[in-house]
Amino acid sequence: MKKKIITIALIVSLVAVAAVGSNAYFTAAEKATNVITSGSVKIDLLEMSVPADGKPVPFEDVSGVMPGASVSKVVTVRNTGDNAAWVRVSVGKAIALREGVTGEPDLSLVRFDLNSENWTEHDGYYYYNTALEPGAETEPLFTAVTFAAEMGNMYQESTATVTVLAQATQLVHNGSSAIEAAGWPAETEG
Amino acid sequence: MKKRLFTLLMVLALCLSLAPAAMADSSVTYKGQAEKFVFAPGSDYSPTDLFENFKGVMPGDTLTQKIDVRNAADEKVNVKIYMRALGAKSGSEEFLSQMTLNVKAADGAELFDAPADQTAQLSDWVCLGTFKSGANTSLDVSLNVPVTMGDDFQQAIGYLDWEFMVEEFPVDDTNPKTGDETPIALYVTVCAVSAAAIIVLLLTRRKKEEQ
Repeated sequence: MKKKIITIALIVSLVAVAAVGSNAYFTAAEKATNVITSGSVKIDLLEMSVPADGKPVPFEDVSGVMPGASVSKVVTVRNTGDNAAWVRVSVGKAIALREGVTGEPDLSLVRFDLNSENWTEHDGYYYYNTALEPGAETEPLFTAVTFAAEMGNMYQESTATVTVLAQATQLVHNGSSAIEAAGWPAETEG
Repeated sequence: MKKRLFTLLMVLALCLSLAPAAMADSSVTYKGQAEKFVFAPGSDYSPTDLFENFKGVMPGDTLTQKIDVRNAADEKVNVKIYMRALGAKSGSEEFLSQMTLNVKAADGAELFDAPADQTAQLSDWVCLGTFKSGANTSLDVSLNVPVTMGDDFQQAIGYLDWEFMVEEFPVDDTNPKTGDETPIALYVTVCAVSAAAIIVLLLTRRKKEEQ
């Protein structure tokens, strides 16, 4: 009888220990790799010329231009990125006189048919009046460069250079117009 | 008039049915020991990507992402789900350090608020709760991109890892962790042994008395 009682007591103890042992958990862990990407603002400055057949081609240097002549040069900007942008363009001009000729060239004799309907001049730049959506292209800033008829002999064999630079900055969180916008990047030369 | 009203209702119903698709949440689903965790929706960058709404971010953006966390294991087990942050992957630190990430639990408790490359408050495991089969909670993640983030970070890609862990236990063992580390198991064992000893003593005494 004593032996039986001890056996029962041991069984009770083992059951208690086993009950405690059943608290062990199954566990599993796995990793999620999360990704954050940033957008961009991208533009292309386009300089085209429209020959007599009316089919635009990329602008190439022109020689032998006479006073009073007009050279086709159509300047636009295309948004090649994924985000809408504000756009501005600067236009510079220079005249290098033929070697041996002295005098100060009059830059006002090189003129552009500026589009003041879609572009606003401010602080040395021409700002496009509306936001440029992805894939869209601006109206031309100008379509021709004219050499004034009053250009005298001093300008014979001279070289006129027109430099166009375009910039873009993001539209979102950045003002309500191109003139108000901030964060203009480095210039893209055409 | 009746036709017009019907058309209007149909359009409204269509809009409502499309809305959830446009605002789809990400999800972390525990599917039991065999499948473990399933992360959705994933992306072209990572099959376990939970940040569907954080693509193509721009300076000045504040974006949000809701993440559904769910126990879809069978009904015989309950689970405790934990998460922790492992930080930015090598090469992503500079980009991710530009922006701040905030993670809130469903009850509004803040789990994480720091630059996105860091592990901060999620360096150690944080329990998201105890879940019966089919139960869920959600995480509200917001990303703040400062307007000062420069052009150097255009078209950048940042990878950051989170880890989820589950403890699975039988349905009747659902007591949540309270922080009380008292060794209950030891006390139970001692009590059982004591009870057995008392029984032995009582029976021994009764036997002696009978004799």
